[in-house]
This record gives sequence, C-alpha cells and structure tokens, in this order.
Amino acid sequence: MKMPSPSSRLTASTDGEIILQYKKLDIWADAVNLAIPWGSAVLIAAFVYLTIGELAGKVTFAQIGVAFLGNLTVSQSLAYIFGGGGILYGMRERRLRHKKTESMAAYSQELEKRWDLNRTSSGLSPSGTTGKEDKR
Amino acid sequence: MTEIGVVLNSALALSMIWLLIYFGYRQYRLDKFRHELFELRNELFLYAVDGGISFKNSAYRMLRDRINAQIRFAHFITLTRAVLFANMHRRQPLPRAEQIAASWSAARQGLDDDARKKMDSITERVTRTVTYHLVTGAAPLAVLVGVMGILVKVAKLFHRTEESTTLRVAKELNIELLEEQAIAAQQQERELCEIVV
Repeated sequence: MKMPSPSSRLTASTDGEIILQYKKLDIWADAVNLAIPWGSAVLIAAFVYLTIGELAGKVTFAQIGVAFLGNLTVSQSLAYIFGGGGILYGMRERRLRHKKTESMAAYSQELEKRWDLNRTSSGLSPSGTTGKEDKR
Repeated sequence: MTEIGVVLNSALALSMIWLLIYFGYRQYRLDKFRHELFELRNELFLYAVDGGISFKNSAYRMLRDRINAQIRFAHFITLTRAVLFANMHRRQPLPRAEQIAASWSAARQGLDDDARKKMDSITERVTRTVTYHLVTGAAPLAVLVGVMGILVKVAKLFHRTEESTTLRVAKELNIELLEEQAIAAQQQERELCEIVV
C-alpha cells in the first residue's frame, strides 16, 4: 500500500473545511437542479388530482373518461400520435447511438493505446453516458 | 363535464412536454456537449500523433486530463452551481485552484511557440464550449448574456478589443472555477486509487 505524498495531503484543517463548504454548496446545487424538474411534475399531478378531486362523488370515472375522449378532436388525436411517436422515435435513435458508441469506443481506445501507453480515459460508461459512480 | 376533458387534455400535453424536456432534450444537450469535448480531445491527440507535442509532455497530459474532467462531470455544469461557486470563491478560494492554474502555466511555458499556440487554441475552445453549454442550459442566463453580448458589441465600437463575448462571459461567470473543480475531483480520485493500490 502506497502512502500519499505530503503535497497531496490536505495542507491544513482549514483546507478541509473549505472543501467541506464547497461540498455543501454542491448539495444545494443538486437540490435545486432536482427540485425544478420534479417540482414541475408534482405540479402537473396536483393540477389533475385537484380537478378530479373536485368532482369526487359527483361523477364516475367512466364519465370522466367519456368527457376526456369526447373532448378529443381528430386533429388533436393526430397531434398526440405525432408528438408521442416523435418522442419514441427519438428514444430509439438515442439507444441505437449508444450501442454504436459502445461498439466503436473499444476500437478507438485500442488504437489510441498503440500511440500513448499512458492514455487516460474520460471515465464515462462504454456507451458514452455518465458513469454509475458519478450519478446522483 | 367539458371542462374536465379540457383539463385532462392539457395535463396529457404538459406531461408529454415534460418528458420531452427532461428525458429528451436535456440528455441530448449533455451528449452534444460531451461530443464537442471529445472532438477537441481528438484534435489534441492527432496533434501529438503528428509530432506537434510529446504524449509524455506535462502540458499534453494536463490538457487531456482537463478535457476528460469536463466530459466526466459535464452533468454537474449548471447555472446554480456556477453562481453558488463563483460567490463562494470570492470569499474563500478553492484550495487546489491556484495550484492547478500555476502548474498549467509552468507546463505551458516549457512549450515551443507552435505547440503553445495549439494548446492555447484548444484551451480557449474548451472554455467556449463549457460557457456555451452553461448559458444555453439556463433561459434567464441566455437572455442576460444576449443583452450583455449587445452591450459588448457596442463597447467594441468605441474600444478596440480582441476578446470575444463568450470569453468575456466565461470570465464573468468564473467558468475556470467549475473546470478546476472537475480537475481537482479527478485528481483526488486518482490519488485515492494510488493509495489503495
């Protein structure tokens, strides 16, 4: 087992405290970045829940379903199919790109290592996505 | 009853937009950003293959590590983080930041003119790419930078300056700090690996 060199150790406890302060900010930044998407998802769910909740005991689910479908026009339905189909198509294209990246990455890595034995990697997963240990 | 139909229709449409933004567009932006950095890393590699710089040169290694760190921690480059860190850095500089900047400066000095120009060009484009990714990822910041861009262009009419708007924004937002944090995290992990091995 190799011991860390003196220069690589934290020079003083204050350095550790500063890094800790930065880590705290990191957690705050993560919290904000998670709160925006998931907060908006909760808002959409609450919007539906409150509307349906207002009708509790007054109408049945079947009536709600009929109201929803009855409100759909042909052009609206086509727009949903178009939008949903577009999302699905995009997701499949993305999956295909990741598979392609995975198959090509090993090849380019091998070629680069022939030139540079100490080649360093980006640390991404073979398919080019964020590594498991870096996900939060 | 028509109202409930309208509400459900709107909720369905909003959910689809939500899916598109958070599972589609955001992932695409991240992949595009990483791809641009990979292209810069490849350019650096090919420059070394052509004999412009040695693979063992510390400047080459540092720049490659720097690009690798940006690629790896690309998902952490956000407006919230940039603002919080820049604010903190003014009061309490990150311990390793100065050390990283000094080592880079020393490594750069040891290069011949051609190699130094190439390293500077790649470094500048890395900073531009990171800045562009950060700015376009946050609507309020994009608007602010748009206004700033116009002001800089007007200022350029009166004062001749070579500095681009993107680099100016990078300086204001302290983009280097985000980059140095990523490098420091990568270095710490490597040191930890060395201790374990």
